[in-house]
Amino acid sequence: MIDLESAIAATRNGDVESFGWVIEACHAHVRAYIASFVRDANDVNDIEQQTFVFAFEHLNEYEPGTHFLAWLKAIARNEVLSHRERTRRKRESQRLFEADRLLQRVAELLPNRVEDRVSALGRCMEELPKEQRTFLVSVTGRRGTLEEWSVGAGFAANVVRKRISRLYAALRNCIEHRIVTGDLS
Amino acid sequence: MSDNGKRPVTDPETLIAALATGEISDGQIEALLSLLAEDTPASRELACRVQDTRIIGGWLEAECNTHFAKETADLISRLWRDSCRAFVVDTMRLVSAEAQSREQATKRTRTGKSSRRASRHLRPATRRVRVFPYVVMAVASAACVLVAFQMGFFKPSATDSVAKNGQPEPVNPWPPAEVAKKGQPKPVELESSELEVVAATGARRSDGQPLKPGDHACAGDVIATGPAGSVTLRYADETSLELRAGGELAVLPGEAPVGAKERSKGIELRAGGLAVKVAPQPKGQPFAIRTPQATTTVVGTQFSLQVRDSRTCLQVTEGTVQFERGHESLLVEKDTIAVADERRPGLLVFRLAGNLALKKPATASAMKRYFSASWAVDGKLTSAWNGSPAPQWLLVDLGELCKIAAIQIFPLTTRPSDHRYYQYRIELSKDGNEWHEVVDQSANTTPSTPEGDLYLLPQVEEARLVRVTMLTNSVSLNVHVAELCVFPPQEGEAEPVRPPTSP
Repeated sequence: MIDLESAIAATRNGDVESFGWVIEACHAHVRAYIASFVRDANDVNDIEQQTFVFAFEHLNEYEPGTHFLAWLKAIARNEVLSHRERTRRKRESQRLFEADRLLQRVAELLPNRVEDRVSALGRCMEELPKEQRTFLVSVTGRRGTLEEWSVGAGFAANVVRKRISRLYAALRNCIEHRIVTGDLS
Repeated sequence: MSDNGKRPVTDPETLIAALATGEISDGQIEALLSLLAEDTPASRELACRVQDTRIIGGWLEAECNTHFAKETADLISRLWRDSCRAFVVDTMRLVSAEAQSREQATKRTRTGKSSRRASRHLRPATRRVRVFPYVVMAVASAACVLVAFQMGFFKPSATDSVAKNGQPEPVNPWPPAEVAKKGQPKPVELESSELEVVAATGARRSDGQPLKPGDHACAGDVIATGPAGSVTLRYADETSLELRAGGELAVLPGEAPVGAKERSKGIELRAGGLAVKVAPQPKGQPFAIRTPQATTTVVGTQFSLQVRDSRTCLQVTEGTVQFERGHESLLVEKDTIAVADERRPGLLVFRLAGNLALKKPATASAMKRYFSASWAVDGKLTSAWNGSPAPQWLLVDLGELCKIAAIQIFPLTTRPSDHRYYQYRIELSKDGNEWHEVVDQSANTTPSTPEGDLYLLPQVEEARLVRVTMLTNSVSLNVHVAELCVFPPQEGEAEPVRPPTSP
């Protein structure tokens, strides 16, 4: 198990390789957080990388013992906002990045909700049976269409779609339950 | 799930399901937006489901993209080595000064519980960190990630589905072998000269049949990838081939010499790029790859081949490869590029050590933090200059007038499935006033590959300054150059390629 604070302290003391552990431990949280604002996978990659580079650069500003993930997410949010501003300024007239409008609208309707939900998801993922989690990870990381993946796995595409929907619904319910009960630790 | 000319389904359940499977169409996004147009309890509930679906999707992407985390860690590691040493030293100084001041404050107030609390508070900053365990863990982690990546991230494997630490590995939970146990026919074992498809996107056989993971390719089969396709193939001995976008290859019948246990392997690469990792081959049965211009023979190494513009370009990254054209044959070593061009006689060889631009002063019209222009000439493909927003230019000063026969540029690619393309121009100048364009890729739509793009200049040019103007990146406003190589003419080869001069 990675001791995040030790890895951060080691990085601050010059053992830069330890920052690899920091990234390993946090990148799912950070990516989920960024993905709630930005839909394009390449943009999510860029922002995620910029977040960690910025965090490394400003690691001396992090106060040991405080919430490192919250600090990282604050950086990620700033990077998302900068990304949007850059995009808006440059491509104002060309209807690009249309798909992000959906997530922008969602963020307008649901201000200040994401961080707790990502934390809740982390707990829900830990509780998800291993086989189901592996299934979701595999199907998310597929190359090609869902149909192609389903054929390779020996299932009908609709069966796979239904299973994905059921598991997503279960995870959404789990997140909601944890938010309602306040069980986020 | 896509529109296909029909009206998109606007039922919220279906829309959320499409978002979860990643198959949501533009029409369905519009439908979701219209459902979220008003601020009502129902729309807020739907927004919550959209947001949670994206959060879950992002989390899963991160889990199946652990090599991205490794790349980021490597990048930061390089940042530190190359540029950030001063930052870390400063940080250490700051931490040490902070610790000293805290220690002094602690000494002043050291009484009872408050003193113990203060010393506890100080512990993270002042205690001596044992570096060795972290190094061991980092090396072990890197080795695991590397092995997993090299074995094919989603290669179906029933035995490796659970890692030792209890975390699931991102592999297919129903590999073909397991499916076969459930009643389907058992997969046929591979012959030594047959290939198995490990991963395929948009790849087809010559009869138009799409390729999918688990398919076999035998002698005579022709495989082509579309403009944004790719296919990874594997022989039974773990020799692997990755055919890039716009590529075409044919599987050749292997030869079986008398007494040999298995057939040799053979491929004809007709177009596009091919990255090859060859396992050690049986004695006397080298793996041969034919292209229209040359034949590459190998007994076990790592290299890439690219067939483009009537030219075959071989780049060796490990070991030694035999490269033949007609009666001419040469052994191509590591970090060497060999070219067989239909418009030039013989074989051309460029050594990366002879790169005129290596570590030369470089400037750019814009640079993002820590992605300086010098990273485009540092001899590493893992670091890149990043300018934003496009278009931006990169300028390399060779220091003196140099004869230039070829230029190789490596626009950044992040991973094989990344089909981004860059549009750019390359110009040369003797004095910075007059520029002469030698490469125009302003209409390029071919995805960039890790093998880069090599340009043989029609004639040997003399220049001191090389300017690359990156016009577009198809997926982002950022433009990148991972490496720019400038090669002099080969010894004794300058005269044949120089244009005839009048007396």
